[in-house]
Amino acid sequence: MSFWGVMNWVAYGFSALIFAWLVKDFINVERKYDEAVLLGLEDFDEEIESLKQGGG
Amino acid sequence: MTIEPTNEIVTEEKERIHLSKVLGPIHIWALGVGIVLVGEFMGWNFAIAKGGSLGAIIACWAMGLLYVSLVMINTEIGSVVPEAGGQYAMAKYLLGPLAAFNVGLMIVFQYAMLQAADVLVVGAILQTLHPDIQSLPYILLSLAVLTMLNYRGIHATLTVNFIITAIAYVTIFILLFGTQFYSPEASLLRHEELMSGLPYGWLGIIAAFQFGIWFYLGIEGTALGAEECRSTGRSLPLGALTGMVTLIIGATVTWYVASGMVDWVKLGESVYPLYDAALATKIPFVIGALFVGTILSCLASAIGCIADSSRAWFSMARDTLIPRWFGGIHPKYKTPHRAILFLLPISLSFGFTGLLDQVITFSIFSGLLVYVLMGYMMFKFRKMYPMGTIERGYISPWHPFPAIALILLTLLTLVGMYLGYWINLLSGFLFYILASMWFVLHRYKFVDTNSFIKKRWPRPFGY
Repeated sequence: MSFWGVMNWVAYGFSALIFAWLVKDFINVERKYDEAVLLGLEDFDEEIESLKQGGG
Repeated sequence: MTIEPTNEIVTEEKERIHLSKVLGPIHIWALGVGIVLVGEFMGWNFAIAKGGSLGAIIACWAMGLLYVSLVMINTEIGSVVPEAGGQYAMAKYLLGPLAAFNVGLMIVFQYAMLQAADVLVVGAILQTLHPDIQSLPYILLSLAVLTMLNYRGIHATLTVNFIITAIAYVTIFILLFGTQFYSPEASLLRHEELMSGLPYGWLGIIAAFQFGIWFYLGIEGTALGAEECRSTGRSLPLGALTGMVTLIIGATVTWYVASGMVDWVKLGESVYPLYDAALATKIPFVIGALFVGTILSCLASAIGCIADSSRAWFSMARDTLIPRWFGGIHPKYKTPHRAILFLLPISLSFGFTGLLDQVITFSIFSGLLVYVLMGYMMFKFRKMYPMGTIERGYISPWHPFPAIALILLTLLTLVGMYLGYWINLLSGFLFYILASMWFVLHRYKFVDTNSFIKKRWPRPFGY
């Protein structure tokens, strides 16, 4: 196999590793945190208010 | 912070989970210019095929006027609506749920489709290096790396984007100085010999508009970073307006160099016009620089597209216009991780339809519809919130002229697009009409209208 042929497989390998990490992290987060926490429901109004006063 | 499944940690997170507020003006500049710069390296030159060399530069400046108007309007309204979602969030407050749903969808399609085109081009360019190089592994690698960057945090993502965008921009000037344009004796530029005038008259100029917008398409995406700015009122105007100036200079230099180095007929058909101009200099350093610049511009564009499309999708979910689930925020990285991952296969599927030109046309069409609505929103914004009734981070001068120019030039561009892609345009309209029907007949009953408009948002004038 040529150098570039090897590099093609290296690129596939790195892509697979990164996608695997993304999926793993996503599953970890979904398992360990409550849905309401991930959606940030409680603090959203305060968020907008502080932005409007400080940065707006 | 490490992810711990203890109740204490979860409770603590519950009180402070939100998108990070870490962006400054350079990040906003990178978000806007990064998405657009690929248009200087490819795409704009089809304006020459439609309108000739002179028609292309007229289209370039006319579209510059369109985008200056758009950025001014965008920045004024965006500095008051500091929520992720950009034009979507503006439509939400100014036009209501149905328009907001459509604008959000248009933004998502505009950027998700552009992202697909960007990574496909990266693969295609690398494939030209050697016959053994395949495009697919590099397309996947580009998408994986850029998605991971976006997933892990907006600050690092846009810092990287700033660096690669700046390098790509500098390569345009390497080409300019490589032609020795400043020396009448040594200059490689041959404008009189290689350029054309207006071979297709004024109709050619209008037809050129749809490709002239490649010089600037996506700069309005700066507004999608509003919620993540340290100071929206400062970062958004500074980043967006300096970005617009950067692009107008870059566009003019691009046209000037390419038109002087490559015959107008060949230039009008070129896939990589700036790279072809570099090849014509026969200077290895310049050729290498433009090769790198072309790849970096594609990567920068894809980074920004992932950031913008995910913010729009996230915002729509947060307002329950689409299932709330997509509005999740990563507890550690403070990014809309569900939206980022959900849009990845969607974008990839656009790329592998084999209809890249149709995908790009739909992307541009979606953007143009948003521009028309932005012009209308500016009139409504000034009427609902007259000067002095709400604190503005930036005030757009000469109102209503920018809004009028924006609407007229966008409609002219749609007319030009209709001349070549009328089926795409009609199909696009049909798609958004069907989407609207789905929203009204099915989705609207799930929309939480109490949380849609925040209670603390100031009431309009005369309410």
